[in-house]
Amino acid sequence: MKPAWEFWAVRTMRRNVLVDWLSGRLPLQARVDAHFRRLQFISPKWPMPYFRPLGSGAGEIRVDDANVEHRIYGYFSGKCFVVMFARSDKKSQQQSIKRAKALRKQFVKTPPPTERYDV
Amino acid sequence: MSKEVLLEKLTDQSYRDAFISEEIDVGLPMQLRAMRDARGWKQKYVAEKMETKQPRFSLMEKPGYGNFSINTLKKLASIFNVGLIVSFVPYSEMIEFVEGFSRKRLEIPSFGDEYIALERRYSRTAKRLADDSLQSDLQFPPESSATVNSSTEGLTATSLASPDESIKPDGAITTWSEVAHSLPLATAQAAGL
Repeated sequence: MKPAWEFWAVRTMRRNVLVDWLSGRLPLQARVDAHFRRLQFISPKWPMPYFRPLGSGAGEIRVDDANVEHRIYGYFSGKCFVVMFARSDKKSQQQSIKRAKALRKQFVKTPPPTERYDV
Repeated sequence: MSKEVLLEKLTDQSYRDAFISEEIDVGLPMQLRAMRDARGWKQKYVAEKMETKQPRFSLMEKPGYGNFSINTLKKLASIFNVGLIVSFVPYSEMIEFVEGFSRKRLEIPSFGDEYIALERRYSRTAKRLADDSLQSDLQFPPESSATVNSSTEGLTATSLASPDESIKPDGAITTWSEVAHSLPLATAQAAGL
């Protein structure tokens, strides 16, 4: 059975934003991988609390880890969820949502270079 | 994730520990949610069956919930009418499990939903095994299937039987024509007896 979704991440300054965010955080990487491995088979849309649409085509994947709520911001493009950036603190949530929407609008006009994240 | 990439990640002890932990802490809640959705059940309904409160069950469906006791899992397996395997395995098995992950691993059907298909599958298998066994009995000479050890002056019971005879474990001799007469007509004809 083929996955319904693939995960991709934006590359900025030759760096994969998702790999960069997870770098040096192996337990978090394992948790994100476990989430993605399952989300890729959930279609047509991901339910709460795994995912929250933010409008303007953007959305956030929530990954709880002890007392930290990690948020992975991205957008859907065909069969791909493209990660734009990720944050690990609740304080900056509103700011992150604004940024995600703005980036999404920007990426509609000028698609960014992306790279597949293998789960 | 390709097996090669996963194996590379698993070379780190902290990733290995987290990997095992997350497959349980993330995997079970997401399975619960998928099974409940597939059955069209509300959280409250499952919570009542578990004799607990809805917010408590809601927590169990939250990825990262890591407080399942074996008893809770057994209770949930009973409510959802599904199987449950709790077992230590080698990493090779974990890698195969993860690599072969699919939607089927999320939406587990109940025993009732599986039963008819399983009954058909197993009865077909049993019939095939019986047919294969019959065919092999008919294809091999009797001496190769009889393993009676009793001997008379150096001669085994097998060698005493004629090619048309087979020897039962109790030493009684059955002829192939007797076998043919004991079979249903259609089976015997199909077997060329």
